[in-house]
Amino acid sequence: MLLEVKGLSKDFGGLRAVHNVDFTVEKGEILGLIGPNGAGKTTTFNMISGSLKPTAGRILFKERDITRLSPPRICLLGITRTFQIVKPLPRLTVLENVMVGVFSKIKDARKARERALEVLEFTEQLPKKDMVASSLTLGDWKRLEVSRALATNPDLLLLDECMAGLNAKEISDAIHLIWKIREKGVTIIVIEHVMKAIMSIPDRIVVLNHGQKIMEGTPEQVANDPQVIQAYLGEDYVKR
Amino acid sequence: MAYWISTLRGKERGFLSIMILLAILIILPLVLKNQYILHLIILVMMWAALGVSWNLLGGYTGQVSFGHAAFFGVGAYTACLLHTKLGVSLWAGFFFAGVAGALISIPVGAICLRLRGPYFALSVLALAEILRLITLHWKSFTEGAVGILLVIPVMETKIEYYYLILALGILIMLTTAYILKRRMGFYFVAIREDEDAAEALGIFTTRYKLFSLIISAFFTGMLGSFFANYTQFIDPYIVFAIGEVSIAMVLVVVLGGIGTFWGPAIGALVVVLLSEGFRSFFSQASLLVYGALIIIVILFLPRGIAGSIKTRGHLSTVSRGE
Repeated sequence: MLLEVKGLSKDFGGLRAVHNVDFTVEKGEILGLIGPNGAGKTTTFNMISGSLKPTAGRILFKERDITRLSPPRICLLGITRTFQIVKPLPRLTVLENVMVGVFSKIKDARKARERALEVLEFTEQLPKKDMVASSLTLGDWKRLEVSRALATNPDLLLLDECMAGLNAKEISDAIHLIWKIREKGVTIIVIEHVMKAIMSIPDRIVVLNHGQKIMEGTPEQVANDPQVIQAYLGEDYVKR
Repeated sequence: MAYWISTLRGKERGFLSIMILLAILIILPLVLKNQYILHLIILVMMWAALGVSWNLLGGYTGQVSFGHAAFFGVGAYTACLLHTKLGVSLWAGFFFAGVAGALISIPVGAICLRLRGPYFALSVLALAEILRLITLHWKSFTEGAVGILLVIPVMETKIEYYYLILALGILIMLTTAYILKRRMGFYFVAIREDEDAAEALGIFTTRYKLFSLIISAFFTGMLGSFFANYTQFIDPYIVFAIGEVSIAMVLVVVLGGIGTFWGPAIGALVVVLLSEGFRSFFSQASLLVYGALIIIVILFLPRGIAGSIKTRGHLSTVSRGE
C-alpha cells in the first residue's frame, strides 16, 4: 500500500469541508477522486500535499506518517501535486520551470538541464522549451504543471483537474500522457470532471459528496450507482 | 530564455562589451586627473554594488527590504569599532563587516521571512531604526552622535579607493552571477514567481529566502565598511539613514530595473549623477524633484531603465522570449 488516508477531516470554522474520509492507493494504480463542486476533493489534495493541516485523521505514505509535514518535505518524500488553478513560474521559460522541479533531485545545473530536456521530450513539450511560461496557452500551462511535477520524479502524482478547460484534442492528448506516466510506474490520483477522462483513466474511483465518501468502485460501478447519480443529478434521475 | 539568465550566459557580444567596459574602468583613473569626477565614479560603483546586493534579495528572490541601512551601518560600525577599540586591521574589517551584517540579518529573517506580505520589509526598517538608536545612545561603546573618525583609513588616495571599489563590485557581481546560474539562483527566482508552486516543488522557501538575505546582508555590510574607510567618518545618522541609505538602495534598483542583472549599475549611474545635479540646481528642493522623478519612472518605466530597453540591446538582461 503506497498511500493510506484514515479518518481525514478538515473544518474551516463551522464548515466541515472534509469529514472522516478513508481510502487507500496501491502502488501502480490510478485512483480517481470525483464529486460535485465543493465536495472536498481539492481540500483532500491540499492535505495530502501538506499545504493544509487536517483537523483530524492521518495520512500514511509508504507506512510513514506524513500528516503534519510541510509541502516541500512531502515533495521530497515522493508526492508531487499539480494545481487546479495553474501556478506557472511566469517569467521563466518552460525549460527553466521544469529545471526547478528537477533540482529537487539533481543539484548540478548542467545535469538538471539535461534531465529537464528529457522530461519535456516525454511530455512532448520540447518544441516550447524556450517560451516564457506566461505566454503559453491554457492547454500548455496545464501540461507544464504535469511536466514540472514529473520533473521531481514522484512516486505518487496528484493531478488536480489537469483537463478542465481543454478542447477535445487536448483532452485526448492529456489522457494519453497520463497512460504514459502510469507505464513508467508512477502511481496517480486524479481529480477530474471531464467524463471521457474519468471513465477511461482510473482503475478505481472514490466519490466524495459534502465532504464525505459516499462510494468507491470501478468506473462502471460508480456510473451506475444510485447514490452517485443522486449526488450529481438529484433524486429524480435515480432509476427505480 | 527568460531574461534573468540570458545575459549571464554571456554570448560573444555580451562578453566582449563587458570586457571593453572593464578595460575602460581599469584605464580610466590613469588618464582622468579630475578628482571630483573620480569621486563621482567611486560613488556610482559603490551604489551599483549596493544595488546588486539589494537586488539579489529584493529583485531576484522577491523579498523587498526597506531597511538595508541596518546591514550597511552594522558593517561600517563593526569595521571601525574593531579597528579603534581592538586594533584589528581595516582590511580584515571588510570581512568582519560582512559577517556582522550577515549575523544581524539572521534573527529578523528567520522570524519574518516565514510570512508573506509586507512584514519582512517593515521589520528590517524597524531593525535599522533600532540599531540607529542603539548606536546613538550607547555612547561609551559607539561614541554616539559624535561619530567615529578614522584617522588612518585603509588607503589614502582616491585612485586606490577607485580600484578597491571596482574590485569589490566585480566580486559581488561575479558572485551574484554564479549564484543565479546554480540551483540556489533558480530557487530564489522560483520563490519570487510563485511561493506555493515553489513549495510544491520541494523548495524550503523560508530557508532559501534566508540564504538570499544573508548573502545580501554580507555584501551590504562589506560595502558599509568601504564607505566608512572612504569618507573616514561615520555617525548613526549617516550610516543608518532611512532615506539616504535604505530607500536610496531601493531607488537605484527600481530606476535601473528590478530583477535585472545590469539594472542596479544603470540605476546607480542615474541616481548619483542626478542627485549631484539636483543638489547644485535645486539645493533644498532636491528631494522634492527626486520624488517627482521616481513617480515618473514608476508610471512610465515600471520595469526600470534596463527592463525597458531590453528588446533593443544586449546590455539589458531581458530576452528573446518575452
